[in-house]
Amino acid sequence: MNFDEANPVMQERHETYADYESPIIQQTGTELENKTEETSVLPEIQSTEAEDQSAEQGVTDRISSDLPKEWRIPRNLSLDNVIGQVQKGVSTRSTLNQFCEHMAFVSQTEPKTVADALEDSNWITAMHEELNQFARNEVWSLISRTSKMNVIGTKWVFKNKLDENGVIVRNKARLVAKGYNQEEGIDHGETYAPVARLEAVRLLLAYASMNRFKLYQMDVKSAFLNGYIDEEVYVSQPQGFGRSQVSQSCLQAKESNVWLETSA
Amino acid sequence: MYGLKQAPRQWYERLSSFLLSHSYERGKIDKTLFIKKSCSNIILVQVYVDDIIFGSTNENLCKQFFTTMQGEFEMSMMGELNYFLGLQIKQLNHETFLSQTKYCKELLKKFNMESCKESATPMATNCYLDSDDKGTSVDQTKYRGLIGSLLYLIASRPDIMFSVCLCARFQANPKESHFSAGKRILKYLQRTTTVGLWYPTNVSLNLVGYSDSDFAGCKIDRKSISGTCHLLGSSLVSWHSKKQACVALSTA
Repeated sequence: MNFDEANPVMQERHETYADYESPIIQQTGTELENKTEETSVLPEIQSTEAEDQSAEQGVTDRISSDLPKEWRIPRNLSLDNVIGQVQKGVSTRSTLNQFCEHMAFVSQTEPKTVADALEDSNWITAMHEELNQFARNEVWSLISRTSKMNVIGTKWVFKNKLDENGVIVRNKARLVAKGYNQEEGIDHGETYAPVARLEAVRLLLAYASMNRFKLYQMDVKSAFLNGYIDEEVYVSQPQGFGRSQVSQSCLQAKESNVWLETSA
Repeated sequence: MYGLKQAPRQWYERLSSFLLSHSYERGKIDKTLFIKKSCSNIILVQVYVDDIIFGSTNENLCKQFFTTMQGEFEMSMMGELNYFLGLQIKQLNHETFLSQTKYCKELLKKFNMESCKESATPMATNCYLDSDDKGTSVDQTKYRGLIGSLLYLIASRPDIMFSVCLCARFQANPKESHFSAGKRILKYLQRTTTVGLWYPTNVSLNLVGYSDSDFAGCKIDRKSISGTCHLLGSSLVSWHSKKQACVALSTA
């Protein structure tokens, strides 16, 4: 990864995540001009330089006493110079590498409301990705609202995806309809869908093992956007992305029957 | 669109009609299994909502299936089946292992039992659980959470089935004694975290079923408890344990 590219983003978010970002940036060797002056001392570096500074003054050893020997801060260091949490101890570059890579491009918080999400560029990108899926699948078309329509609200759901180590690797925004407002016979008919049983999966595994063939898996992205529905369903425009002008041309029937109503 | 009541059904409809149009046959019993035979080769496709497991006697058929699917839907990469619905699957040349080690560890962590003592059995043979009206009540939500988590673990662990089902009968009014019986199961899991199922190769494909029952095993209403298991060749594929619906007068 090129850190020069990432620098603006990192700096931008520096205030919020100062706790863990600053030591990382130091260790990965990037030059952050605004920080180099005050951040020259880190726990790791200090231990190597401890001898040179052994006879210094202005010391605090408030924390050092209850830490393991190797984590202790040399007595000759003022605590103001230590960046990050002293209790975290030494971390190596390799463990932080992964962490650092995603840090710049992924938001670390899960917004509660759309307004919160719209303030973060990463979440806006995630929301655009989701809306592009809608466009790609031609899920809906825009029409003006009439009094006869039973309009179902929509809602944004924000979720951070973690990897095995619990590090956030992806911001996922999903636009969902408030299906609890649907009425049977008007907005939906049959809803039953068969789902595989675990016994069936185990049987398949046993059968595959017996016949010595490998099983593979894959999944469909945004599966539910692919279905064609039979009923006409009107949903409100996604919050934060609404368009106010009415476009009549969208009324011509497409493959899907989901209609958007305009907010105006 | 996500959230609509008909969304899962319409997705199944779309996927199944796509597969049927590509000369796949839908399973007669299991409607989520799709089969295609060509010459002596067979391809099996099992659908779990948006997850698809597939395998074939001929590798080329798998690739062909993947490309046809990719042409119609936006798919993730095809990968070997190793983690599905919390089941860890290890496919080797001569055998397949199925376990829920990861899930089991998380379960122990969830109930703060990561460093508990081990126990060799999930339940004592003389364990006597009744409604225990005089006992002190425990948090119902926590107890139900424990039972629910353990029930999912049964997907690869028939050994704890009986004891979990026994504990599950007291969910309406859980007492201290029931909760400690549940914790005893966790202590057993601590010892047997990595236990799972083993599916060997090269065995004859015949289905064998066993069943058994005790006599008046339930101390509260004197009903019997029966259990069954089914083996395909020598691989265990299905099992159950259930209290019978009516009071039995004999074991026969």
